[in-house]
Amino acid sequence: MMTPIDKDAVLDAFAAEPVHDRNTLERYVSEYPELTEELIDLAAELRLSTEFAGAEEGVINDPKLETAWENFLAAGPKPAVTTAVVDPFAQFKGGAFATLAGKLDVPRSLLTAVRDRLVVPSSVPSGFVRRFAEATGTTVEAVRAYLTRDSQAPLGLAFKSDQKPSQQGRVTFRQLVESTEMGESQRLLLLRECEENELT
Amino acid sequence: MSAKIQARDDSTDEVEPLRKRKDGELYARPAAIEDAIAGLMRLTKEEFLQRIEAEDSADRVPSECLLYFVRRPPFAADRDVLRVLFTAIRQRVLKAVPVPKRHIAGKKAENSIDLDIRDAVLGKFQELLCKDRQEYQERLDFFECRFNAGVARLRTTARRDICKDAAHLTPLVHDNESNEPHPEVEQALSCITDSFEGPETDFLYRSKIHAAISSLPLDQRRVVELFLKDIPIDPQGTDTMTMVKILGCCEKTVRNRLKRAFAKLAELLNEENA
Repeated sequence: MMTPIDKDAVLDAFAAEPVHDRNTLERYVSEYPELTEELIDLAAELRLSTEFAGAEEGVINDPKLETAWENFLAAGPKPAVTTAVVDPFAQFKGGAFATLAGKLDVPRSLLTAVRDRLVVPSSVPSGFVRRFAEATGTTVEAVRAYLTRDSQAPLGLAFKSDQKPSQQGRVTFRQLVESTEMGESQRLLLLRECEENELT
Repeated sequence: MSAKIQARDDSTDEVEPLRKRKDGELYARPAAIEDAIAGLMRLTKEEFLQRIEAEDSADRVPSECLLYFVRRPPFAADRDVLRVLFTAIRQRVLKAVPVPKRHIAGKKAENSIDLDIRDAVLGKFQELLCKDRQEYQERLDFFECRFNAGVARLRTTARRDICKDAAHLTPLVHDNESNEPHPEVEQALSCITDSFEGPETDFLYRSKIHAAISSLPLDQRRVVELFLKDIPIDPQGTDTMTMVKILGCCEKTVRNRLKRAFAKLAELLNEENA
C-alpha cells in the first residue's frame, strides 16, 4: 500500500516528464498499477495544458479576487515579524545609493549614518521616515524596524583600527543634521521635521 | 522568529533554493527560471512592476517566477507590489485551467463542469498560498519548477471530485448494443491523437473536440484518452499494453464505454455543427 507522499511523488514525476505519450503512460502504469486511473486522468489534463494553457488572451474575470487578497494578507506573518528582517537599503548600493540621497535631498554622509543605524531610532522624524519609505518602496513600519536593530560598524573599519573595534554610540537625528555639511534649505527642512517629531 | 521567515529575508541577492526533495536531492528550478528570477531581483521597483504587468508574450514573466516572488515578497514586502503579483499569479492559474469553448447555434458556450473545475483549482491554489504564508508548503515547490504541470495536477483532483458529484445527477443510460459506429468521431479525434502527422488543424476545431471530451463522464473520458494514445482495445495474443489490461476490465466493458463515449461525442459535435 502506497503512502500519500509516494502517490504525490509518482504523479509529480509523471507530470514533470518531458512528453506524455503512449510509452511514458505505459511505463508508469506498469510500474504503479494502483495509480492507473490517476495517471490516465493526469495524462488527459496535461494534454489540455499543452493545447490550451495560456491560449486565452486578455484578463479573465476573477470575481473572488478581493476576498482572496484579504484572506491572503490575513494569513501572512505579522508585520512586525516581516519588517524585522528587511533591509530597505538592499536595492540601493553604489550609484543607486547616491541617487537615493539626491531623491531625499540629503547628503550621502547623513544617509550613510542612517544606513549604519548610528542614529537614535526614536529621534528620526516621522516625516523623514515616511519620505524614505516612499523613496525605497518600503513601509514606514519596515524602516522603523530596521532602525531599531543593533547598529552595524562597517566591516572594513575593523581592519584599519589599531584598537579593538567597538560599537559606536548613537547620535540623535538632530545632532546628525547639525553636524553634517549641507545646504541651508536642506538643513531647515530636516530641523523642522525634528521639531515636529519632538513636539509629538 | 521562525526559521522560515529568516530564510525569506529579501535583503539577500541570491535566489532562494527550494526545500522539497526527490530521492534525497533538493528540487531544482530549471536554469532558465533561476536566471529569470535573478534578473528580476536586480530591477528597481518601477522596472519590476513593468515586467510583471507586461502582457506581450515575448516579455511575459514565467509563472514560476511570479510564484517565487509571491512566496518571497520583494521590496520589503511592499503591499502594492505584492498585490500586483498576487493578481497576476491568479490570472496565470485561471489561464492554466482551460475552458474550451463550444459553439452552439452560433453562440459561444462553456461547459459548466470546466467552469466548476476552474473555480475549484483556483480555490485550492489560494488555500496553498495562504498556508504557505504561515508555514512553508513544499507542495508549491513543484509549481515553481513546472507551473502548468502543477495546475494540471490540481485539475485532475478537482475533476474527479466534481465528476463524482455530477454522476449522482446523471440519469442512468442503458447500454445500447446496436449503436452504430461513428466514423466522423474517429476522424475528429484522429487530429488530436499523439500520432497525428497531418497538417495542423484549426485551433477552434480542436477546442470544440476537447470541450466535448471534457464533458464526458470520467470512465468514458479515460477510454478516449487511451484511444488518443493509440492504445489498442485488446488484440489477442500480444504482449502489448491494451485498454483491457490497463483498466482491468473485460473487453465488452471497454468497448461499451468507447461506444457510449463516441455516441456522446457525435451528439455534441453535431450539436455544434448545427
